[in-house]
Amino acid sequence: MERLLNDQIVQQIKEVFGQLKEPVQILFFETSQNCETCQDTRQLLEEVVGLDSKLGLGIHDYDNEKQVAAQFNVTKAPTIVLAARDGDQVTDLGIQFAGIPAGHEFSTLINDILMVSGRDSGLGAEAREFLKSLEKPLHLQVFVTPT
Amino acid sequence: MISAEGVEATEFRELAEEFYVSGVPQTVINAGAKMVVGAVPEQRLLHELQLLMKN
Repeated sequence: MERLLNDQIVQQIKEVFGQLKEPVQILFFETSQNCETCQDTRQLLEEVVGLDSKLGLGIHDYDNEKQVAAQFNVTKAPTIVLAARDGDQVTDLGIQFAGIPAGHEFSTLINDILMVSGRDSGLGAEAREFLKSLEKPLHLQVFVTPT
Repeated sequence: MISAEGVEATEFRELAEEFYVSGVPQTVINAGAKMVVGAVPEQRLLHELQLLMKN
């Protein structure tokens, strides 16, 4: 199978992955129902995860692994979950990407991996204070396109 | 308590239409309780969240 990431991009990613701190577990929920991007998304993740030993990847069948999907609040496929891993312990941080992270969204994926690995949102003090005080759930969906 | 997702709008067209997504990025807060269009600075998003969540 032809690789999706060329040598130059692989080199660039390896360089930024030098900043990785803690392990990151990526869970990919794919579906066989009418999914044009599942195969490419899976291959893309496999290529990215293969670039650093701090990254792990689990492939899940969205249609047949309802329990795992529910555990991570996954409601559609394809969905990528970026979770924290410490030893055998995988902690859901509530961070997902639905659809293929292509084009501009590929750098979003790489940046999110770095953020999860650093265990730091990068938010300012005021935002942290406010979010800590929340008593009701907050769900943000950022709609994007690859171009 | 807090969850966030990026959604590829062309792939999840129905979901995007449900929230009248016309330009990207568009941030939908709590299933449409509030929408923020554009890549706004952290302070602006924080302000919107503060207004919404205090009610």
